Amino acid sequence: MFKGKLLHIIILLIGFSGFSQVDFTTKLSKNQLGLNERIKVEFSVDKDGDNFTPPKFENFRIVGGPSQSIRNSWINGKRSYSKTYSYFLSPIEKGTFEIGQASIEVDGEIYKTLPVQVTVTSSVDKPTNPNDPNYLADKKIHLVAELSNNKPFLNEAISVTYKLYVSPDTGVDNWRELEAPRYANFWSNNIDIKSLNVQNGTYKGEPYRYVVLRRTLLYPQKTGELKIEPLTLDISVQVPSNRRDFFGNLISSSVNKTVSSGSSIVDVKPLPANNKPKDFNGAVGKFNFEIKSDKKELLVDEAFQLSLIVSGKGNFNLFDDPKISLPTSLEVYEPEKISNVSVRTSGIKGKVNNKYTVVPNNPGKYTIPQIKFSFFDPELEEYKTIYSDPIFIDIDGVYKNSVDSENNSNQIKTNKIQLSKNQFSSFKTKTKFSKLNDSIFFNSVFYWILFIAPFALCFIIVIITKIIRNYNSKKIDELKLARTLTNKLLADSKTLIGNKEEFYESIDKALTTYLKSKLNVKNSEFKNEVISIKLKQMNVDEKSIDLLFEVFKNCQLARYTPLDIDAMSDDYEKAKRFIELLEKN
Amino acid sequence: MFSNNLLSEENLNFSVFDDKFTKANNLYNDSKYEKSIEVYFEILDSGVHSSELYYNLGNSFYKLNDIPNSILFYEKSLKLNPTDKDIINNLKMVNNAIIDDITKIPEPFFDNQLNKISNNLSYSNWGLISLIISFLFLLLFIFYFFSKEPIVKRTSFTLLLVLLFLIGITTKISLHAYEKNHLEKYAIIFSSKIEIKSEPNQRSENLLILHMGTKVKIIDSFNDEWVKIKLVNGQEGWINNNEIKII
Repeated sequence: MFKGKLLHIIILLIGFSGFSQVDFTTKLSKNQLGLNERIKVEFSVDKDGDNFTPPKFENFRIVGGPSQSIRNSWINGKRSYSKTYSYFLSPIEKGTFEIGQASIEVDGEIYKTLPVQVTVTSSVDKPTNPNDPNYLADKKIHLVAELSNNKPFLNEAISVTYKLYVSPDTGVDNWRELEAPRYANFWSNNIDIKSLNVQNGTYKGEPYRYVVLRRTLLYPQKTGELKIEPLTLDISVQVPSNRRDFFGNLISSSVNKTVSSGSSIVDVKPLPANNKPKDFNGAVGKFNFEIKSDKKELLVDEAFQLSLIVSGKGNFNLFDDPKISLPTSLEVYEPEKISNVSVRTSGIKGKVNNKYTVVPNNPGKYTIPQIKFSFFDPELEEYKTIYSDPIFIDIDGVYKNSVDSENNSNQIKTNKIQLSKNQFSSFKTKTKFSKLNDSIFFNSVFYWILFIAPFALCFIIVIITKIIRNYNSKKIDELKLARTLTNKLLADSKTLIGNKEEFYESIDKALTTYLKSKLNVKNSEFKNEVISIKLKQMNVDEKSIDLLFEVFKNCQLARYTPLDIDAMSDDYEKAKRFIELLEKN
Repeated sequence: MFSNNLLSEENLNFSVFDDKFTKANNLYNDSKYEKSIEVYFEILDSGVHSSELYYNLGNSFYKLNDIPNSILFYEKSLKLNPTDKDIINNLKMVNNAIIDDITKIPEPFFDNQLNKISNNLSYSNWGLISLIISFLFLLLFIFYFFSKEPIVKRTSFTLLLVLLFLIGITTKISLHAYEKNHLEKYAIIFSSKIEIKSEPNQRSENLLILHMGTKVKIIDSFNDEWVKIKLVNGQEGWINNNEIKII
């Protein structure tokens, strides 16, 4: 059939050979192809032409070409000529596309091809050559990144292990890292692998040998989906071919192959927010915490060391070490951090010791307070808090600024007995109890009454004395008045000597007035008996008193008896003498 | 007769307390501090107290490393006897264990001096002194008033003025000491770590953190549950009543 067709065409061509006809055609290797396949497009012309313009290969990518080939043949004296431009194309997407017109100029005329339809279907399984070493290498070498946990908590240790699986009949000569993975948003630590140990394992159910190339410990530092970049290796692989050598052994061919572990995604969970301790400082893992002091009893100015030890497994170096707050009278120096940790695939293990050097300045009892250390246990998925035991430290010695420095300068070793002041004083042996809720004397009403009393008394004394004085001065005034009156009456009576009645009346009046005021006697009491008693109290002798009464008697008598002038002047003298006597008293 | 009986009974009781006190001291001396504390508390429960009792209790707690209790009882002891050197010394020793370092606002000079002087005696003693001086004043006044000699009168008058001045001062001191030791309430923080709140509820803002053993002044209270405290640096805040014990 085909031959027959060809014959027809040849006949046709011969028949038309008389015309100068140019044949410019497009030839496709296939009209339908998978997305993963390639297509060869040939533009052939049977006359020599120039200025070939290929069409725009839309929706295709030029993989190879253009390549030009010229064929010139003479068959039975007939010349056949063809010039071919060929392209290899690879489709970009699925669908039916058109390969447009190409043009060429032959003998000054432009010829064009017809557009051709191409259908791109989804990828088809490539018919592969089972003997292709590249293909074989693909099949038999795998680089895998294994994650210990792809859903860790923030700061929980995960490890990524890169394993190279090699099929038993292939071999690896050499490998070279093309691209080392970078772990953005992770704290990473490579775990050194000392020697590559080939181990037997399975990969997708088939027996394989594998080797662990690299192990990395990772602590995610960010929540969310984090990408681990792939590790890419360039490996030279020995692939068996189906050819055999002279002795019947398989000949293997060597191929350079790039393998990549592929990127993996880690979904980092945030630490739970509820029940989060306030002092949580980011520690995740399993920890133990304690405080130790190397001394419990020491002297002033001796140093002791406090060790804050965090031990266990977890993200050491990624959280803040617990801090200590000490009484102010202790001098604390910056801590010395002794870290003794080893990195393993399961996490960092070991202990971190913060050593504080503390120097007490003064004697006494000091507390190293309880310190909390909180961490998150990712296995139990809960927070835990460890409390340290409080430590008490007794410090003996004397307060600073004592005579110690003098002692040192003297350098004489004598047992100087010092007054041990500022030592802890012991209990008291004797006491005097009082009632617990005794009423308080101070500030009570009684207290203030007692307080005011002296001043009140002062005031009362002043007033009383004043009253007494007033009274006395009044009496003195009366006495004065009486005296002047008496003097006046006496003076009157002297002029009245001879005038019997008036004279005695005047004398009587003078004496009565005088005595009344002098002896402080009222009218009703003015009797001889009272007067004599009062006068006796004033130490007036009886003779004078008798003299007085004699005058009074004469005064009474004078009204009824005649008396001469001598008697009158005698009585006047008597009265005058008596008053003078009393005045002297 | 009846009152006599009562008095002797009381005396008898007091001698019982003395025996207990000695017993507790012996326990203390044998390093049986818990037991000695029990006995001291028995005495306290009977309704009597003394500076020495509180002091010995403070010592027992000191030996047991119970810092806040030790401070509490030293302070109680000091309140009854503000001049005792042993109490002051031991309180100083135990105060080393306090974590909080609060800078004291310097008091006005006058207040400071007043504090210094008033601390030498208890307020009731200061009160007695001012009473005695006022009676001396009375005697001297009588002497002044009734003396006739001008020299005597002049000297006694000057003395009277001096006494009046002294009465003023001692009364002021005793009132100050009374206010400080009797009316002002202080407390010791017992919880190892406590937040001071800006308002009397748990929701309010934390002002600062105090640690056990710190002495605070109580200036107000609310609902029996919250007390307002003042620190020596002037900072005020609210604190739960359960976290402190009043001296």
